[in-house]
Amino acid sequence: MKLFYCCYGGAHTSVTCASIHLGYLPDDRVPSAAEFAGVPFYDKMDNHKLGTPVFMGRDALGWDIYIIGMKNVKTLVIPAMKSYLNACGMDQSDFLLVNALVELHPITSISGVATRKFGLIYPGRPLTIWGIRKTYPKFLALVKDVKENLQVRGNYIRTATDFS
Amino acid sequence: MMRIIYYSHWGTYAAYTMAALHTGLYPEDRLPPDDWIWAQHELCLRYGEQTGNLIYTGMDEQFTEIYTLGCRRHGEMIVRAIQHISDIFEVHETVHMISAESLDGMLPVLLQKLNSRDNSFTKMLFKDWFYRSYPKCQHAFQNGKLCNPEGNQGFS
Repeated sequence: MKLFYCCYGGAHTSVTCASIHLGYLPDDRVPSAAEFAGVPFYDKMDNHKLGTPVFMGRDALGWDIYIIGMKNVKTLVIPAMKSYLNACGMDQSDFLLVNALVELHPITSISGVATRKFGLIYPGRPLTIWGIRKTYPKFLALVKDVKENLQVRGNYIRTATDFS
Repeated sequence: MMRIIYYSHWGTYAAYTMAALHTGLYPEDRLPPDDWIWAQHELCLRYGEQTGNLIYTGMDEQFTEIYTLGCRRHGEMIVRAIQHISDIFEVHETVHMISAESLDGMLPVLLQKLNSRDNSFTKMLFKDWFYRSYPKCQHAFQNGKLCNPEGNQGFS
């Protein structure tokens, strides 16, 4: 079972969502800026590696959580991945993709470009953290929705199995 | 079993020509008949914009499945995505992604913009493009010149 959080650069929003999902970031408050330093892969994805999924961990329900940056062409990358798996005859019922690009603070977007594209780690990285913290409740709501859906999905499959 | 995916900006121009040469649909030593050229034009009209979707072309003598894929300007990113997805899902068959981007040229961009109107002018442009690109595709295929940004093989 594999779940991919997708965003533009694979460095900020998807990493934040995956970290909340896996408990690396708190789900009951806005974390401090220092807590982001402990988040694996935050602001680390190089532009020339975009499209590479990164494994973040496995959650309590057994889902492998990945992040992937797709620039602004997820309508190209997602069909390519899915049609390839289809061609390989792979069952995709446990392959889920979640768009982590919630309504971002413009500072996050601008500073994200500054760090990843232009290499301006300072002040880019602190500004991305500032922007992410501003919109943190939206990430919490997204991850909460995802987890609830996964839970319901798991219950449904267990129930269906019991009846079979 | 192996899979080969020819990719370029559009999946139905040079990438498809390469795939058709590989599967034997197109002859290696001469131009295909006009009916086949118009058939590829029809393919471009119908599926040219469906970038991101693999198009199955056929199998070669070694039962290698041959596909084409339109990647627009994001070939490198999609190559990485597919290769890593292949590892993640433990797909046992090898996949080779081969770039045909250098064989497309500029005319397909114009053709795709004009292809909303299927008329004798677009057909003429397509035929002109085909006649120019086919020898390059033949040459590249026969020589097997391969290079690609991810260290796989493609055509230079």
